[in-house]
Amino acid sequence: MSDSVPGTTPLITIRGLQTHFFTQRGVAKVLDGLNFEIASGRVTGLVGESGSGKSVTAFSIMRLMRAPGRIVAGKIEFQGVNLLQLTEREMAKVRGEKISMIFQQPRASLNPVFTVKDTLLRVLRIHKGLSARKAQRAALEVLARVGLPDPAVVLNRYPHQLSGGMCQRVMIALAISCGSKLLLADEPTTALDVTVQFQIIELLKELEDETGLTQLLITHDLGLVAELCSEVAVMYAGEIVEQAGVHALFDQPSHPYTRGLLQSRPKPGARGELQSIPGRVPDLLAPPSGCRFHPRCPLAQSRCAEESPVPEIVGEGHWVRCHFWRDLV
Amino acid sequence: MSNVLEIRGLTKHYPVGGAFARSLLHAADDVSLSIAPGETVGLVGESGSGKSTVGRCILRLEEPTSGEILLNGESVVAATSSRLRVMRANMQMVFQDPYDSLNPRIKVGELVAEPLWLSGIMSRKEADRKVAEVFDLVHLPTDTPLRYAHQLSGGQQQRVGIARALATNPDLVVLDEPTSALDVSVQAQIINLLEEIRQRLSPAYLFISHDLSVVSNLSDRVAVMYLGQIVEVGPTDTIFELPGHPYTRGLISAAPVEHPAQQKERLTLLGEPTSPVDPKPGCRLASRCPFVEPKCREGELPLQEITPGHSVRCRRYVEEHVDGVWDPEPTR
Repeated sequence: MSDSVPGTTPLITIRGLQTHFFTQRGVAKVLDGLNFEIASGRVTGLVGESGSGKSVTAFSIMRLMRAPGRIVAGKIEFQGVNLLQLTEREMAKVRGEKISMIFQQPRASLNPVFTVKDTLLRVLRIHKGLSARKAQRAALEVLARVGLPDPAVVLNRYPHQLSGGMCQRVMIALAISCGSKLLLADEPTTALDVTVQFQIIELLKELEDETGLTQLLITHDLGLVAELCSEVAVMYAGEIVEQAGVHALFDQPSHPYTRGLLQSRPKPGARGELQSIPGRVPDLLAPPSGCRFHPRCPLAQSRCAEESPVPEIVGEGHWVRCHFWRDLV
Repeated sequence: MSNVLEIRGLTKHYPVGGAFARSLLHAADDVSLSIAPGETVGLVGESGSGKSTVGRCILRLEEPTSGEILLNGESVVAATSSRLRVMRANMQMVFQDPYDSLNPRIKVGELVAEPLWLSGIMSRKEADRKVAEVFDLVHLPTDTPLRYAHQLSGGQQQRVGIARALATNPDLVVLDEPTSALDVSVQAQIINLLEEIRQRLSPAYLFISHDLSVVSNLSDRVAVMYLGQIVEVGPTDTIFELPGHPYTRGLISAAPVEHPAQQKERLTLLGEPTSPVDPKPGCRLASRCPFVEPKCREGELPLQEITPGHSVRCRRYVEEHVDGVWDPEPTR
């Protein structure tokens, strides 16, 4: 396959995934035949702006899409099983024990009427079948593991008594407490303060180094990708337009959108005009014909409006979906 | 030339807790800052640092507890409400969430024109002409004034917000996180627009943001706030090349690398910002600072000038630096 990562096996293989939104104004085909793989033991970045479909991809993997969104077709293969064919009961088990997800607003993801202890012990007892005493010990261990300074105190707190960074650590503790194989992290640091953001990144790095936890980092911030990821997929208007190893992506961005994203980042301590991408993200109720980026693209020619580009190989493990990527290099 | 804005000892405390448990949230403590005509000053801090409170006090959207704010030499704090209305034409604000700050029921052209003729600055006809002029200035299509806010993209809404702020030709524009709600590619468009406006009309900007990189792109000088206090202020280059305060160093260090191959020296601040309610004496960063010594927890710490225009509120830095360089060993 053109999009497999050299030297790895995929933990998740997505083929032809279609997740559509059925709205009053029409059907938005947000994901319309997505092919994507998450390499085992790596941190893969899924980068895009709002409305690119990056969160929809994660919610589809978890099968947590809510109306008006619905998975219409496709295959999501995880450890040899197509997740889309599991019963709701089987899927609930996968969510608890195999795949976990953390979100942008950590406090909003924790039930406010339960203490950390209630939530964490419940998860450990249901999914790992531990006795109350063993669950408590495991809970203290995992809270210490995610760098919470005083686990015994945190255990008896309610979410509103914890800071945003602490809530995110508790979420990560929940995610790893039952030995998940895959962590889907949807903008996990966006709502946090800068200095705290960095601490959470460090924690996710450690989890990769020490336990080989496979992660999908969903973000709009290429800086986080540079910090944490070894693989990157760039998403635009529901399609992955480029995928590469992180060094290749930063050294040789081959899609005009990727290049635009890299150039529009302000650099600390540097002044002067920024390169920006003209226009705005398209409305997926009426996506542009051909290449979805062509109305904003500096390289666009008439062919781009007519013909949707197919993935072309740039280098090992690096492909791009653009007719004229060679003109950019 | 005198300063457009002069803030002296601005303090804003909010009472918190019940009627009997009197505590004070120190949103801003003894903040002094000046902005010269046409200058851009960045005000950086994390949530709860008080940076927005300072911005809101300048326009008297909040009443300061104490301190003085002078706009072109005239007191904002002492102004009567009728005088304040006139003065506000000279100081305008752009808000973080462009949609929330635009009335959804009024066409955006009307939204910008109304205050102009209502305040008697100009006639309705002149106001309409002014709208066309400022919308052109922010590069909005000519039919935009007839649209409603929800018909515009986030970037276009923020352009309307900027157009509204510029309509009265203010000497000072307070920008409160103007790009934080926008996508990366649109954020760059807005930053470029603000720079272009500065070159054409040269208003002074107070650019409030949590993002040091965004601020540095536009600012001549940067002030860093932590828990209600300015902990460092100086020319943008100095702040990045020779930051003095451990908090400034922590902020710069926490910014993600620009390239995966980049090796960055990291200074980690411990834990998270503490509460601004009834802060303890001494340095407010003491509980998080890797270089803390017992003396840091004593008395009041003044903001001390190191070189002309560069001031730092850190006792150890002030005492130990050599020509601005200070490389301490962590004390914990």
